[in-house]
Amino acid sequence: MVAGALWFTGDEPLPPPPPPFPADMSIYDPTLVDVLQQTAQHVRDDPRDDEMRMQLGMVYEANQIYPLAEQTYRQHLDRNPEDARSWYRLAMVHEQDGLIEKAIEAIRHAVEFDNKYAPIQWRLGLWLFDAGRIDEAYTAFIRATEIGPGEPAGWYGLARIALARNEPRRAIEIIDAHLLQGDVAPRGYQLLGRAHMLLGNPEKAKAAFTQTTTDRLRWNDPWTTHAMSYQAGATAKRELATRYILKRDFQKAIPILEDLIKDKPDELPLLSQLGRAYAAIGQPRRGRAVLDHAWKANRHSFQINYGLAEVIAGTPEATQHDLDLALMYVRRAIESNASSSLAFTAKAMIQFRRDRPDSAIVAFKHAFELDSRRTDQLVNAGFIECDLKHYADARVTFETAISRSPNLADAYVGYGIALAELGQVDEAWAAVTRAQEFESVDRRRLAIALKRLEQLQRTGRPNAPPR
Amino acid sequence: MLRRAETDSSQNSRFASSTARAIGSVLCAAGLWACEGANQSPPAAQTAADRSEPWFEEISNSANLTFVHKSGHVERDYFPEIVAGGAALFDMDGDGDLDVYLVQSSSLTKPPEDRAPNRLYENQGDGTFIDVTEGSGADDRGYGMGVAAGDYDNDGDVDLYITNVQENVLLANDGTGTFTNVTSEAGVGDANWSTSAAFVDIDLDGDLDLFVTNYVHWTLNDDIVCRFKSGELDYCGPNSYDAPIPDVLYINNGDGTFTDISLQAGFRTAFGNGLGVVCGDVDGNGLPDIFVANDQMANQLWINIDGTSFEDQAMLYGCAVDQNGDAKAGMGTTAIDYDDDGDLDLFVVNLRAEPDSLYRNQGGYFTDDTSAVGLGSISQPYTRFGMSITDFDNDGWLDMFIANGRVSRLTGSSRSAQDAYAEPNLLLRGDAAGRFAQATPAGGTAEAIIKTSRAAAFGDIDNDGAIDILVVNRDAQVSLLHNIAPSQGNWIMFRVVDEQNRDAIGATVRLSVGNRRISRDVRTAYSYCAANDPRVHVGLGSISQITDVCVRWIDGTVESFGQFSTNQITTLRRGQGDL
Repeated sequence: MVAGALWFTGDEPLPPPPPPFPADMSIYDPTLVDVLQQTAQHVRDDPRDDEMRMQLGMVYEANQIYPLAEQTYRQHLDRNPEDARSWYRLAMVHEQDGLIEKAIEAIRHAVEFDNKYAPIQWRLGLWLFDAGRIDEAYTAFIRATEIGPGEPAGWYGLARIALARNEPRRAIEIIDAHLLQGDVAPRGYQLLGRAHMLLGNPEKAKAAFTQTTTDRLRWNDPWTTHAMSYQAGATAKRELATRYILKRDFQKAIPILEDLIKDKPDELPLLSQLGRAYAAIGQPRRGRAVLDHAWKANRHSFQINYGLAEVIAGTPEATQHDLDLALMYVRRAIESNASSSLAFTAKAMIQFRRDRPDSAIVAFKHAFELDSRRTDQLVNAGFIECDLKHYADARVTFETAISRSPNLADAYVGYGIALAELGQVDEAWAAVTRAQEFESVDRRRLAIALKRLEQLQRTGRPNAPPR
Repeated sequence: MLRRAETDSSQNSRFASSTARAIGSVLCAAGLWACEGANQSPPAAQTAADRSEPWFEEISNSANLTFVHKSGHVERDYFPEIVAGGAALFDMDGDGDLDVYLVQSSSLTKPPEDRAPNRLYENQGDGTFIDVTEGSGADDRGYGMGVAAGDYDNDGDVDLYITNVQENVLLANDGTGTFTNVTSEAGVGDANWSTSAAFVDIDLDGDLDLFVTNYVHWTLNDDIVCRFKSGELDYCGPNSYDAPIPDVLYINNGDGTFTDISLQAGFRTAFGNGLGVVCGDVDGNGLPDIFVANDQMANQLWINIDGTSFEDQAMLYGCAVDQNGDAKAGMGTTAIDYDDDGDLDLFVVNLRAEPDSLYRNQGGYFTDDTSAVGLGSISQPYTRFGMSITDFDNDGWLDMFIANGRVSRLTGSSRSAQDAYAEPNLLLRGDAAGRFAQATPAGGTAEAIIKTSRAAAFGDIDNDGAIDILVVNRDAQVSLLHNIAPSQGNWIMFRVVDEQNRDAIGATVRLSVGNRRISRDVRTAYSYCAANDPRVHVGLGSISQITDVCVRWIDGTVESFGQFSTNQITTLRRGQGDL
């Protein structure tokens, strides 16, 4: 056990040491500097305020100044050697540095002083697993599930251990019972797929893997959430803005971006985000003004040219002149990055609005060729081919889309329309019926297809000769 | 299955018998590659497990290998500066020793004519190299990343493919070390930011095709300023750009030109921020597959269906993500039959605070055995790039070398610090149980080399049967690590060539050593941005005789070459064995 740093002079202990402080503050964000100066000053003024010292440690940790976070937590532990939370944070700092054995050593102390906080247990299990100490990891995960049976992290660890021990049936039991609901489900399906592979069931594995993602999973850990709340400065704000944008909550993102741009008026990614956010909330002129300002500073930036093209073309009242301008911007974007599927999609949209359907089809198909995961671009091309009455082409386009993405509902709708117009009414009904099985189907397009099919059944005549 | 730990040196005497040779030949001829005898005990090793004598000495100065890689960093942190630097060990002039090609980066802001060129060094055969760049035609001035080596035009000499942040370059060798830039005629000038590349006969038609791993769309005009949460400036990671680029497969037309079949072959259906690549027949169908290590995105395992169409089955095989389900920052990678069971296992190294990944091939899928072999935590303090699994001390067990260097600076460190990204390299000693532990001295050299290392190329530069290492260090002189590991055991090294004396890239050499059946592929492309010695090296410990050696050529033909005594470099030429 770490002994308290109590140096006695007579009956009075020496005061705790001053908090660690960066030698060079000029490299840090001004907001963070303010927070650090205030917090550190508070600790200097009252070195026995352990809570404030702990808070300073969390400010360092949340803002990735790990060496000082470690020093501060150690100072806190010198006076509070039985504080599980401090040991836990120290362990997390060690993990950030990849020092897993040191992390294990620190978190063992946390276990000693708090055996009721489940994240301590499952993190210990996680690190022990990494270190190859499977039996010890098992014990930690079991304890985590005992403390919080409703929390998935411990169960996830136990399922991993079952797989590592080549016990796939046991893993499936755990996964079925605890890991196929809520946020953890994509990871649960991933483990399920692995279990089926171990059992020699690749088809079941494939089915499971279709429901997985590889996004990082955020496990429930209130102590860490609290520590991270001390993030300060522009990077934190920027991360927050990006999170809002990803959620399409532009109203919340915009004031943050505006604030950030005050300090960094020429930072292209910020300008690009802000311009597109304005457009997304129905203020395309403001968006365009922001992007125009950025464009004057860097006329060859992919993101600014692409952003301008998107904003202008996305404006419902865009004039022919506007669309010509948008085309110019997207061409510049493509000059900068000819492998961008997104840019060709934007080009296709612009050409479609410019009433150049053939060019739009070519651009949509090229967008698909550059990124063959984007089968929705083929669907767009196919519907334009239908508009042009190029039903044979459309049939091929939709067939390709369906072969790549069998669950793409709108592709079945388009396929049905093309087949119907080519006189293959039974096959068309089959395709449209398949489309109706998907909740994601575009109801408007589906209604058009159904209406057309019914019409054809009555007249028995396709709309146009097949091309 | 792990190898058994016990040894049986009494079997050695039997290895030399003609009976053993006959049995071995029959097994080879019958094509029994993976059905028998795997995972048996190794010969006793004569190594000192706890030794502290260095395994390597750094000899770049005495060898006249004075190349200094330049990232071009001045003030602003341009993303490519932090991952660049490639190297090749290849025999440019067919004289039997390994020459050196070093990929320079130089400057992202200067025009090519003002940049320092790549450098070519000829091995003098006396422990020194001489810079022969001048007039060689090999002085490409692109912002360089990596290099692949292979005889693409089947003229009997080794050509080079250079990956750059801008257009890549194919240099055709005339056999004397004079190169001609044939990029445009060959049609392989991918203008994306490429990293590792591999020559591989993907369609088994007798000529080398080319797979190019692409990273991120980046230009000076779209450079982003990145910071730590503290506000400190630092290099960006790939996800700051969110612009991964699909990889490219060029099929060799056999007439000096290539055709990009990436779209038709399926490579646009999945892609990530690619950094590392290795090719090999993972699924045992006779066709080489392609594994791509992606940075902060799921890896791809391109299963070769028929030579021209591929499916990414990384998730199904269990090598897309780690055992925790996380996509990691994959960089260097290799493939080797680590457990002697006749199939290829995969190894990927990753970023600080992430474990590496050892994917053990279980026949149809991989299990992530990283922790089980002791690799779960040992390397996590470092950011790993170039790497190899090789028996460096010839004790009969595979070791591992990993070249390290941070990609984000040590927080709170001064921006004027000499190298805020430097880290020591790692040398891990493999044991008979198939586990790895840190070798002593750390990193293998008497004094730790602490630099920002990127590519590492592996090969025997002095033909002494011990594998040496060439490491490219960002903004520093290269490290040439001459293998001086003490108490070395026996070894054998094969140059495997076809009838025309061309390295048989993709062929597999199978050795019967005691009860072990060791498989090693002829491969140059592995590690990170590197081209390596194509010769097959096997450490043998105290074993002095190899019962049988056979080669499975890429067309599936198996040819037996009989028994061999150890401690020699020998050539296995197609047609000179027993079918």
